[in-house]
Amino acid sequence: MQVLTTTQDDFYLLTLEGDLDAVSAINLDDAIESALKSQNKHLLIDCINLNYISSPGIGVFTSRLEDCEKLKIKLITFGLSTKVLKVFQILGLDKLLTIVPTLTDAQKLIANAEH
Amino acid sequence: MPSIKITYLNTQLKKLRDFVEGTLVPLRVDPVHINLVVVAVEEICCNAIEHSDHQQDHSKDFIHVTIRPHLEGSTARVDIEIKDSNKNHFNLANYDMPDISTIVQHRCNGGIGLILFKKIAENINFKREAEQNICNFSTRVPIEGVRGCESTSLPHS
Repeated sequence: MQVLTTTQDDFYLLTLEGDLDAVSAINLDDAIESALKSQNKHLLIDCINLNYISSPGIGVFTSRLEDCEKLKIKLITFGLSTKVLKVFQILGLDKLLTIVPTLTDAQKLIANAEH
Repeated sequence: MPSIKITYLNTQLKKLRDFVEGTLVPLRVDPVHINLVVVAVEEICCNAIEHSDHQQDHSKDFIHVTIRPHLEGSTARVDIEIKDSNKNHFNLANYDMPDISTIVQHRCNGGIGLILFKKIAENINFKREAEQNICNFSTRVPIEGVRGCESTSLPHS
């Protein structure tokens, strides 16, 4: 899996491509660690090209959620495919994480938070 | 019947996923449910890899996965058997399942895979026979394009 990083004025964007499993979870964890150090108050995770997720990948989201809350960083996930979203829903994580359909929706949340 | 053997390495998981998907796609199983079956199988295999004796030479040991799909009208019942040779026997029945908010709060990520497995799998049975750990379970999945497929019971709470 690849994790691409993009920094914008008002958010830090991580773009995931491929399968997020026991092998690749560390890549996302490292990328989020760097994002938290950037001190940007909005961390967006683009899952449009995330093909698969299993528990080690989900574990990165759940463990980093607390870190984001402590640092007052808003974590927003968008672009989940139906099959990946279903895995989050089974666990009830769709209620704990902020998940929106598109990047535009994520940007609207940021804009609303700033006004 | 479709089967695969993988070594005790996480790098084998992609091969495992491709096998499960490749077995169910020709049956026209709904892709979202194929993915859930893949997740359930991978979680058990991942658990076997994680709890294997890393001091032990596993070069000649394998995790064996067998899938037996049974078409039943608008759905299919998929019976799965996973065998490993770990000395430690894992039984889900003995596992105290945390809820997801506790996992988030206490960062005890180890339970996520087993919660997922338990939500997806039915008729779960763990046993030890002939120095092997054997996990049997089944799932019921809808077949695409067949009326009534929306009545599937998977996943369950």
